[in-house]
Amino acid sequence: MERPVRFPPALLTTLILALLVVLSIRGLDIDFGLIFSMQGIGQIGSYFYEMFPPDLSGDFLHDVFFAAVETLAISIMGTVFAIPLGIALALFATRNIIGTGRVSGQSNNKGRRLHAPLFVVSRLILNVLRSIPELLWAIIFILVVGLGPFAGVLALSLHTGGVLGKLYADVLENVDPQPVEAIAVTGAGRVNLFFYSVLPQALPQCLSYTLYRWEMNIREATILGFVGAGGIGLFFYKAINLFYIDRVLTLIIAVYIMVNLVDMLSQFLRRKVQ
Amino acid sequence: MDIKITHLHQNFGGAPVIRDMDFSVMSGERIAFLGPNGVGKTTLFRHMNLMITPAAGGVELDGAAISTLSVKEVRAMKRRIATIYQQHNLIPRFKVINNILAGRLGQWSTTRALFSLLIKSLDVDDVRDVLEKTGIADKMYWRTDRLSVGQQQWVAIARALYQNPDLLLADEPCASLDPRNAEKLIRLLVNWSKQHNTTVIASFHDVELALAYFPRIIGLKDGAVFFDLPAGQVTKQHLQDLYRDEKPREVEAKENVVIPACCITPIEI
Repeated sequence: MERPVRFPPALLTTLILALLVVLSIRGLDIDFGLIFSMQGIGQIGSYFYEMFPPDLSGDFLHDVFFAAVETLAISIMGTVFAIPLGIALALFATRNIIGTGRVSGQSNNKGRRLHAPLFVVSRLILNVLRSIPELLWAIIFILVVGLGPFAGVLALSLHTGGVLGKLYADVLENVDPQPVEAIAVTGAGRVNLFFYSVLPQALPQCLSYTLYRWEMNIREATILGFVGAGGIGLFFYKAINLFYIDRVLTLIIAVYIMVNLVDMLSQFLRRKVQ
Repeated sequence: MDIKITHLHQNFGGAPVIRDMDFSVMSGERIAFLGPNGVGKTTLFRHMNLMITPAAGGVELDGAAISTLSVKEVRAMKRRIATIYQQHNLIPRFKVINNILAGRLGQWSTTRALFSLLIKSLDVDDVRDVLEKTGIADKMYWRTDRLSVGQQQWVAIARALYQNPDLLLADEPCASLDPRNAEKLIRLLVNWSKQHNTTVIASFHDVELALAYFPRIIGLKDGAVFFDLPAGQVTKQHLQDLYRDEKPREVEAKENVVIPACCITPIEI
């Protein structure tokens, strides 16, 4: 069957994207001249000048150290709690496991019809969790559990759970179906099949994604304090607003060290699991 | 296990892949399928290992019509059927031993499956037996993806034997083996069949090997049985007619079409 000649999709997409960029520039008062004006450069220059020397007094370093550790802990727990949430949702959000695809060998029987709504609902939940940013979750949870790191942990958990659930589901759906089928033909049950053929193929990628999200969460955890959800962000907020500019530099250095340590550790582990 | 195929017909939304096919197999028989690419051999194998249900016609295994079996009975039947594929279809990250243990996964509880994955296997001796038969016993604890393609195919063969099947299906099992290994594999299948009274059905491109080791040859063409003869009666003329290209190429791709979920037989949780 001959398909009618259409406008090339790639060209169309490019034009639409270009239009979006143009509209965005016009809507946002973008003016690079402001940065390079005498006033702009002067502002930046004086801010930088006042940063030096950084505040390295013992009391402040002590506070910063414990705030950094708290931030680290928030990022860890935010990721840890996200894992079971992600797994639970991913299992229902995966066509081949829930039995609407061919990998499970499930036919058009009762199970499939039963599971279709579960699939839709879990995908919906994943989308909602993911589309609400961490800071918004943080504000919501501060209303529920009060100010402090627990609200930050919950905020990270929910958003990350949504992201990980989506990623896990995608990884599980993309496992090579042939080894799965080769074991399914021996009469293996669904659960055995999952542990012996689907999971071993998906596990390295899932672990890698989880570690990557931890790297992102450590960055995210540094700004949760801006809204009062624990961690080093509160110190940033205070130092910036009270014009303790030398302290801002100390905090930047602290965040730089912490984030890089986590990145290095995470990348080391990610190489291990591949 | 004996097999009876009657008026089997299959199409996946397009031209028929299998049309009005008939043949039967006695328990313990050894049969080689010959035929050009795309004649429905793989689809036929998928009928016999119960991965798809017939569009029309019947498949009977040991007297039981497949279409009448319950989900549970289908699973029980599948446990008795082992399949060797062109590709090894192993889990690359597994140790060889775990890939072989997968052959008996249908008989195992989940607890036992997890135990064998996380702690240790209890059936090391059985696994070593089949590995010795395939000549790679020293690779038992190797990671599968560190083996050569040929060795991986031997792992897949060991997995099928470990399943201890009544029916052994092999869809071009020699595709990734050199001639010497191909012959070794066929000898192994023949001996195994004699010892265990296992029905063996295998497809080959190497006509000589098939004629040398398999007592009965079925030539398949255009989705139907073209000839069904004892190996001694297959003539050069038969083979020339079998492989002569008479139809347009487009049919060839049909076998690789993704099979819609509705054609796949259910497996029980």
